[in-house]
Parts: sequence; structure tokens; C-alpha cells
Amino acid sequence: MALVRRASLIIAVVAAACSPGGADRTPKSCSSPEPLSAHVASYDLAVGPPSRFIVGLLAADNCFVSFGRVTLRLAYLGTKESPQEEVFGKPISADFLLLPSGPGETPPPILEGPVSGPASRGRGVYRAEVQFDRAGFWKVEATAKLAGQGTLSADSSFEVLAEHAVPAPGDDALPTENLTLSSGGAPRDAIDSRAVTDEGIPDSELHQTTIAQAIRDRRPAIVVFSTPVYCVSRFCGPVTDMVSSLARDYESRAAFIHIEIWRNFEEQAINKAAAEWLLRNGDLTEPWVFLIGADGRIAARWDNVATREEIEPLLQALPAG
Amino acid sequence: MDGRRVPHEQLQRAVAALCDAQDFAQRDDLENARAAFQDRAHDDLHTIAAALDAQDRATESRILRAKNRIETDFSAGDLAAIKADFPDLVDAAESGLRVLNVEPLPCG
Repeated sequence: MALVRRASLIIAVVAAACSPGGADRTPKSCSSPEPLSAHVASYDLAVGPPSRFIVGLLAADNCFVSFGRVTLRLAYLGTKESPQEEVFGKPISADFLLLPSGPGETPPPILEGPVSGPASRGRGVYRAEVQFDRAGFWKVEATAKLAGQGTLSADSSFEVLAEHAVPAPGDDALPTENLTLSSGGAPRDAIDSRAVTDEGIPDSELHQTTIAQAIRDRRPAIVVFSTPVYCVSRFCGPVTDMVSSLARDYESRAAFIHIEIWRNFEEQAINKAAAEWLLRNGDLTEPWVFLIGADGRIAARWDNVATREEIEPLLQALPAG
Repeated sequence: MDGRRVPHEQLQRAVAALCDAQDFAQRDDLENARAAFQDRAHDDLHTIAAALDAQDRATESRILRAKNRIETDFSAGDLAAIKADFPDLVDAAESGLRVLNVEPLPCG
């Protein structure tokens, strides 16, 4: 069990400049997207080979920019000790990743986009393969041609590390003895935060084995680290449900494992398995999905937003056992 | 989410949107209930929870659990469960606002 302080959760609630008046009870039109804001949704960016870089675009009034493609440009800003004047590189086209729908939900219709719309009409992030050649601070500028609303840009700064802090492709997977349904003495909601006292543990097929056992068996494994109840990312989707649906379709090709982040949310205690993989310098990011190969090495990983469309082709390439 | 300053009004509107979603559900209007919840309440429920993170984990936990139940109900399209579960979410969110010294707007 480890204690974690989520340093990123710093919200100051301030009195509004004007009186609150009545609540806005009208449906969202999202017709006025400005100001657009960009949010880097990637975790653990580092110098190295090209890797997935994801950015969310939010319009005014909690509306999302979704669908189609946007253009990204990156600029190196230097380090804290040695800042540099920003010089943007070549434009990079980024495609859209739609957040998974919940079980039983009908996915929203795919639009040509990009469009500004409410969350119920589809939300997600834009993805590109990006290579960072220097550690330090970087800036991304995202430009979207919004149908009928003109071309808008937003930027955001972020840090790139000299090397990954979280296990990355090519690394040996940590032989973790995570909690399973047969773990004695573990609180039920430490196995899955959705579990309540008088009901079963959801997605029980994801709690049958450990990472250590999959490695010993030389069996590929999909491992999702998530907390379905307590996720804090604004790009949270039902990633655990998505992995569960993959488990039903590909159980002959891999082991599927869900590791709940929290041992006890109210006491800020996280599960040992989650700490081993994700807790770094008192900070923890989630959700994550890892594909561990039969050789015990990490073959792929997806941070924050993971979609069936990205994971499924890698599962299809595995031999049926 | 780091270091954000959020006006009272934004959080009051989110909780008022929960009231609206509850009203739609009571009238068996599942789609408008879903839209009010997802589009006008969901993100700022996360904001309220994050604001509570350092000072009242029990209330934060109660909000997030109640939110997760409603999300599960919407996923299942279970209107009866939505109707049954909304009052706890509204109450939890209003309690959260009060912990943050923000007076919720009256429902309805």
C-alpha cells in the first residue's frame, strides 16, 4: 500500500465577478467556440523514437472540438535554466480518437469535422506520432478549421523528460503480484472501485490472474490500470469496459488484467501494483493500458485515452492459444 | 486541471444541470436527461470533486460514486435506476458545493 498526493488537483473556487443569476437551462449549442483551449492529454513524454502524442481541444462552455483532423506544430522552449525562443517545426496532421462509449450506449455518428459540439455528440483527442529530440519544455499549437466557424488555434506547454518514468515499449514488464478475485483479505473495492459490499465485482474476467503469472506462462497480457469511479482526467472514458469487451473477444490470445488504482480512496492509499508501475515522485497518472508480449517485454502502451481501434490490431496479430 | 481558478457560478450551473437532468428523467425523457448530465454537469462534477480533494475526501468520494452509478444507469438505459439514483447525486453535489462555501441554486 502506498500513499499518494495528487499534486495536479489544485482547484481554486473563486467568487464570480458578477452575481450568479439564474442557471442556464438551455441545451448547449456550442455555436461560439472561442476561446479555444488546447490540453496535452499525453503522460510521460520523453526523448526517444516517435510515439503517440495526444491533445484535446476544448471550446467555450465545456464544448469539445471533435472529429476530422487538426494541424499541430511543435516548438522547443528550452529548460528552466536555459529558456529558448520558440521556433515552430513543420506542421503535423493529427487524426481524431473518439472516446469509447459505455456498454449498451450507441456511439455518436462520425462527423466530417472538426466541429465544436457538446460531449454527448462525441468527445475525444487528436493523435499524431511525434518524436522529441530534446528534454525540456515544449509548446504545441493546434489549429482546427471548424465547419462554419472559421480557423482557430490554441496552444499549450508541456514537459518532455530525458527518459520515460513509466515502463515503456522495450522495457521488461514488472512481475507484479496484483490483486485478483482470489486475493485474501483485500477490500472488494481495492480490486475494482465499482465493487460495493453486496454485489459482485464488475468485469470479473479481468481479475483472474496476475502480471507475474502471465509472464511466467509466457502469455501476452493486456493490462489496464484504471479507477472507474475515481478517474480525474477530463478525457476519461469507460476504458475498463472497453478492455473487458476485448477480453471477451480475444481471451484465447492474451490474458486480460484490470488493476484498480486505489486501495482506499478516502485514505489516499493506492494499490501496491499500481504504485509499482505508475507512482513516480509522489505523482500518479491514470488510466494506462499496456500490452505485454510473450517475451515479458512491453510491446505497446496507451496513456489516458485508449481506444479499441488502436489495441485490437495488435491482439489480432497474436497467435490464438 | 492544474492550478485552475473556477468561478462559483460555473459550479452552481453544473449542479443546476443535475436538477434539470433529474427533471427530464422524471418525465421519462432519457435523451434530454443524458444530454443535460453529459453536456452541462459531468465535467464540472469532476471540477467539484477535484476542488474537494485536499479538504473532504469523503464528500469527494460520495460525489464520484453517485456519478458513476448514474453513468452506469445511462449506459444501461435503465430509466427506473436513473430516477432512483439521481437524488443522491444531486444531494452529494450540493453537499460538495457547501463544503466549498458555494450555495447551490434551488432545484426546479
